[in-house]
Amino acid sequence: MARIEEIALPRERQATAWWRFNATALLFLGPAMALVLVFFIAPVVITFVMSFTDLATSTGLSNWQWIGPENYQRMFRSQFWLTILGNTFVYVAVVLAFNVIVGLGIALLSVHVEAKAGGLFRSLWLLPRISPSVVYALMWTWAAASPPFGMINYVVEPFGVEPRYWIQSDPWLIVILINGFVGASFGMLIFTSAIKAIPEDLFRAAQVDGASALHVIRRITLPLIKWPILFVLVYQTMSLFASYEYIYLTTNGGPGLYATETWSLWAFHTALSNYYGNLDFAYGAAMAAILVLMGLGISVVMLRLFRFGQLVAEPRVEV
Amino acid sequence: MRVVLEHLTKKFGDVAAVNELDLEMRAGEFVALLGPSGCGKTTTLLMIAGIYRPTSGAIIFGDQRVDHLHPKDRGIGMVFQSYALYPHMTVAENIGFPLELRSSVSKAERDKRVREAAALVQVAELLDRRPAQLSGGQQQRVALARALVKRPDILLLDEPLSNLDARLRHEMRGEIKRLQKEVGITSIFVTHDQLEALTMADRVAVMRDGRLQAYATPAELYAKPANRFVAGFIGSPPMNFLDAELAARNGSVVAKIDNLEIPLAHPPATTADTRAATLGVRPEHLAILPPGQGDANAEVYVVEPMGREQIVDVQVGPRRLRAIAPPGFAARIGERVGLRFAPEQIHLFDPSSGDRIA
Repeated sequence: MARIEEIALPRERQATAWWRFNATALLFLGPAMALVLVFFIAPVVITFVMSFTDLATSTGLSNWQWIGPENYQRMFRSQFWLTILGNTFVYVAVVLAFNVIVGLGIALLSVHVEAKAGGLFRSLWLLPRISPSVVYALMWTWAAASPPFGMINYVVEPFGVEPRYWIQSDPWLIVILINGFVGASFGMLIFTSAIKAIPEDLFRAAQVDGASALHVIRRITLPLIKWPILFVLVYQTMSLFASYEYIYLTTNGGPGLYATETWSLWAFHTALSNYYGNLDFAYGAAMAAILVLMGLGISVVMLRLFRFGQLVAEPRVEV
Repeated sequence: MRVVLEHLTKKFGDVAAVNELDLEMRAGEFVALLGPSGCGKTTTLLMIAGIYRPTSGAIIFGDQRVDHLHPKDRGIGMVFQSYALYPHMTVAENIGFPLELRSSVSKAERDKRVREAAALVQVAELLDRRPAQLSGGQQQRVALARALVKRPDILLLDEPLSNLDARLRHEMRGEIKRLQKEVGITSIFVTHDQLEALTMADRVAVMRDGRLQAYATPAELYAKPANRFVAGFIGSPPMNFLDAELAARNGSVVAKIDNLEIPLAHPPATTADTRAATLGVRPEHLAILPPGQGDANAEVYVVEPMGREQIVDVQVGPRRLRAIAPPGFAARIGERVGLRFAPEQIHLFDPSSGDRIA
């Protein structure tokens, strides 16, 4: 039978036929395409365009001018850009490791204990996720408050740890813990459902075959949730690159100059919330543009590295 | 290795899935646990495997009590209904998995035994494939090889054939039976299909509602079912049951059904004057005769030709009975016939307890 493309039509009718054939598809895809265009593509384009201007509160919204790549030159002339880039990679890498390892740990532990206890345990870990970010961050600033206050001080003092103002003395520890404790629940949820989707018989078979609990995890569970693990890795890397709210609400990039400032926080500070009162929209846009490029580059590398194409094509667990 | 279950009980909440089960399997025997779904047969198997912990009772392998042992320490191989092949491993890795966990088996030894086990079940050429690339029958064979590769003392099979199509099921039935005898391993398999149990097992344990109903060879189960449930569950098409009353006639005993009187070759031992009983007769023991002959007059209700034989449903008064007729038998719906009960083949059960009385 001839396929649609092979049916020859007079030239003038080909166009109308194309419309007729694709109209339904366009009709259904249209709203989603419009949303993607307005909320994803347009902001990126506007950011890139803006980064070549001098738009700021000092120039006013009407008096801006094209200044070419000057914002970019300024950024890389800054004595802090390397520190901030380094901070960003440390932040992403350590928090990512915390999120994935702790999330996986909770998922594995909570499915191997009694079902109700496991569910309760998982609900506890969801608490940071369901409390408003500002409340959650405020609780951390109180917990890490300077002596003689701060819950952390009360907890660790009996173990011989000198009481201190944790946000000042160990800002990175606080930044990692506050992001990690809220972020781990994402992996936990995904991993738990993935583990529960593995047919029970596989675990029974492994037990009969002589596998210990650790063997089962290493040889059965982990290989079968490879895809969710990679998904969480890629997804969380992207979100961490763009996230700054908990750092903003606790250390605010400090203490001192840029000690815990990450790239996205730098862009936010420059464009929307800086100390000098001159909101440098265009300069911040240039920083955000670099962030977009970093994100793109890393996602391409990760998808290549994990052979994304093969991964999604691979047959899933079948019984 | 011999397997003994003593007063084995498993409760889930208040419900006893298995209730005071006593069963002994001889070394090298092939035993079927047969029963309708929910009868406790799979629960029993999972207790033998060590996946479920019994609520009470004992499981003994050889002379050793094993019910406190972890599955891996029981020396069992198991084939699951779903086959439970590890989807991310090749066939060779699947079969070799139980050996991989034993440090005493070297890599070379493992490879050798994997190839032996694969050859035994005829999947030697599939070793590099993944389970998703195998047919149901091939997956079944791989699961068997994985269960046998560590040379277990006992082989457990949970509904081994239910995921196969009819033709393959027949083929695997024979193969598993032959393999079991070749390897000589004590094997227990769970099935809801009476035909599988009869064709494959040396002895069949029939279960219902967590309790053992009968434990006998297939021939015994068929010829002398212990109670009405077993009589109705075993055999296809199933046995006909009729409410009857036993009465003495000229020195022998007959079963009275309304105005019919059916002579009994083996009346029950008790000699009460009259007694209610459930009369059971298998379709193949009802002969269809020309009208006016035999024990009863009947009318043909429907005829189902099966090739080798025909199943004939006949109406006798208000009751409908099922008989088997030879392929040459020709009768139209509504036609009058005579019906003869083979007196040697009549089963009698107590109407209240269901136990066999003769």
